[in-house]
Amino acid sequence: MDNKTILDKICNDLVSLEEESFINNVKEALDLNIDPSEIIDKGIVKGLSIVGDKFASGEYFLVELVGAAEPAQKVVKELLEPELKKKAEKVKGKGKIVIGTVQGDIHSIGKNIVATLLFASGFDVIDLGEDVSAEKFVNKAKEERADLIGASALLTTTLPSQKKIIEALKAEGMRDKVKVIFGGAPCTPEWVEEIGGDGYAENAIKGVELATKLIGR
Amino acid sequence: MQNYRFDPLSQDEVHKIDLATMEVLEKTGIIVENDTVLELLEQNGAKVNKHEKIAKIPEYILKDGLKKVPSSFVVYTRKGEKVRIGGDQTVLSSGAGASWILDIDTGEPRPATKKDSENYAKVTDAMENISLCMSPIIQDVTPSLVDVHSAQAMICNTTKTPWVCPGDGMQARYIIEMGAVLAGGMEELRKRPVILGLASPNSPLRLASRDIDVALEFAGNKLPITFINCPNSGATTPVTIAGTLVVTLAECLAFALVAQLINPGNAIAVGPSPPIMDMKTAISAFGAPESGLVVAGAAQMLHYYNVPSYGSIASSESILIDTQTGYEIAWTAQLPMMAGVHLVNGLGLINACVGCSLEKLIVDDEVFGGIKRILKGIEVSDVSLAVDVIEAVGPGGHYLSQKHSREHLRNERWFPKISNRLGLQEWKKEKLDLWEITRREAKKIVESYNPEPLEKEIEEEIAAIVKSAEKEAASTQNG
Repeated sequence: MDNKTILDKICNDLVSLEEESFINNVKEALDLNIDPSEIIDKGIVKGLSIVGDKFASGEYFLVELVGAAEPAQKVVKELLEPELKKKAEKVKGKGKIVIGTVQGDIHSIGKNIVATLLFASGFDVIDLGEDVSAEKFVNKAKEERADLIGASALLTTTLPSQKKIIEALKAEGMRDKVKVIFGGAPCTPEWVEEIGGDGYAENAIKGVELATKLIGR
Repeated sequence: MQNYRFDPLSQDEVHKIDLATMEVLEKTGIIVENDTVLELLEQNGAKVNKHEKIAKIPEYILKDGLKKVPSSFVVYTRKGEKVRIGGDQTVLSSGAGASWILDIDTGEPRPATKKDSENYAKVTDAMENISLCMSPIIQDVTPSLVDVHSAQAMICNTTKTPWVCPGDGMQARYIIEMGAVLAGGMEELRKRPVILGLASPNSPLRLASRDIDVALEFAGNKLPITFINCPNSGATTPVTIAGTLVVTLAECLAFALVAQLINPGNAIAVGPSPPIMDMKTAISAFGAPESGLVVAGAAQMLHYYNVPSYGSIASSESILIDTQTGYEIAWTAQLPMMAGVHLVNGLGLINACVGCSLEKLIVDDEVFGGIKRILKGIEVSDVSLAVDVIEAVGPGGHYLSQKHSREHLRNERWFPKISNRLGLQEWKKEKLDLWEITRREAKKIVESYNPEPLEKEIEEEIAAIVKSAEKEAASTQNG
């Protein structure tokens, strides 16, 4: 099988949501010594972009969008990144994003969807999980030289934790080095403006658009 | 899966209403303004007073007649698709009787024209959940030929079955002629009816001559027809719902009997289009909660008689597309649908069925999509219980990327077409309300949606029939 055929298969597996076949074909591509970054660019990113188009046109729903992005993300993290590290290469993403649910809040489904879709649209995403302190957001962003922090809050009581992230960034002298966006049910554009964030997104799709606008390259 | 049938009446109450209905037909009787039909009734055992034109119908004659009614029947679209009336699914139709329409450009009510009837048919054609098509009362044609013109407007602008309501026997003849052209001859039309007729008893307890003429044309030609009364509770029927049901059933079943005497086994559906007379304004309110109860109760009674049931639903008194429209649709639609009524219209109507709106047709299609989902119920199976999927996801995970979600989403879910499910920020961009959303949709359909066209030759034959009707109407007027 030539390289192009196997890369097309990887792409098509994602589009038709054949998870098992997708993983096997990625493994086969690695056995064929295809460069991992080529697998990502010409197989995975291409496939996810077609899935994204189908979502935009109404043919696919969120279950297909996340259903394709999640195994893709898993394969990149578990199979392809270790190979890239061996070659001392890095994943060439659109930008690096540190994401998490703020301190005191354990709601993660919205944040998970955003993280998965950000990955699917080509960002390098570091997901800190839930109940993440402002310090942890800032330290990780510093360590990873992240371009953007995304912080979600679902409760009105945890909304102030978003403000703390901005304050912690200022205290570290990092506010101008990293963009910060916020989301979550009680969050509003007015609130984000008040606390000095860089943007608000109402849903995951808008979140990806916002990140692309702010740091996409 | 539960049976979602909701019966508003207990078995005991069904028997009481049956007894009362039989008593009214036998003791009070019903006016029958047609000597031939009176004689038919007399020959079959009814007590007839020819001078007063009243027939008193004993129970055994009525029940004998009802035994001949087919429990279901099929009408056809002009593309040949079957629409079964009397089966498991409620058949939906746009509504008739409106003399004005909400203009989609100005938003103002104005008299309905033939062009509006054509657009009404077009929008009906585009709606997923609507199977039959009716027409507004056209104001810009020869008044005695309104129904002939609306039949033409429907036939040429939708492939869905036109449900026609000729005002008299002459119009019925011309419309049946159109049906024969569509079907490819009278014999074909009988085998494959592409039109459905309608005649109305006049409450209380009167079968008027024009309506009997229409029934004679349809049943005489062995064509399916519906008998729809308009019991105006408090005015033309008792103020009580039970009393309204008794008058409704007496009238509709008497007409059903007449059809069976003309042509035993003739396909029919019967039932009420029930307003209540509002005692402050004298408006006939079709969107009242009581209306929903009358249709649901009548449907249950007609199930008992094994006669295909009809009801008018989704009506509203509101003049605009607003919240009142919404809750009145809900009051009058959900209950009858749960009661398993076989055939309904009223979709597209507003303001006591005097007005209609293309936007409302689109709203109704959405509402019925949702109701159909509710009636589908809850599927419980090993697969739908999803225990292995719940195990695989575990506590704290999510189901969005599960194959199970992808496999069952489209079957489990109903997908709204026009309802707002945007968040605040997205909505703020245009700030659309439902009226504006549906108005845009209606404009899109009117401007760019094309129902499958009629063959040129058939279209010309239909036009020729309208022309001969005009000629006859003119000569009748002059003569």
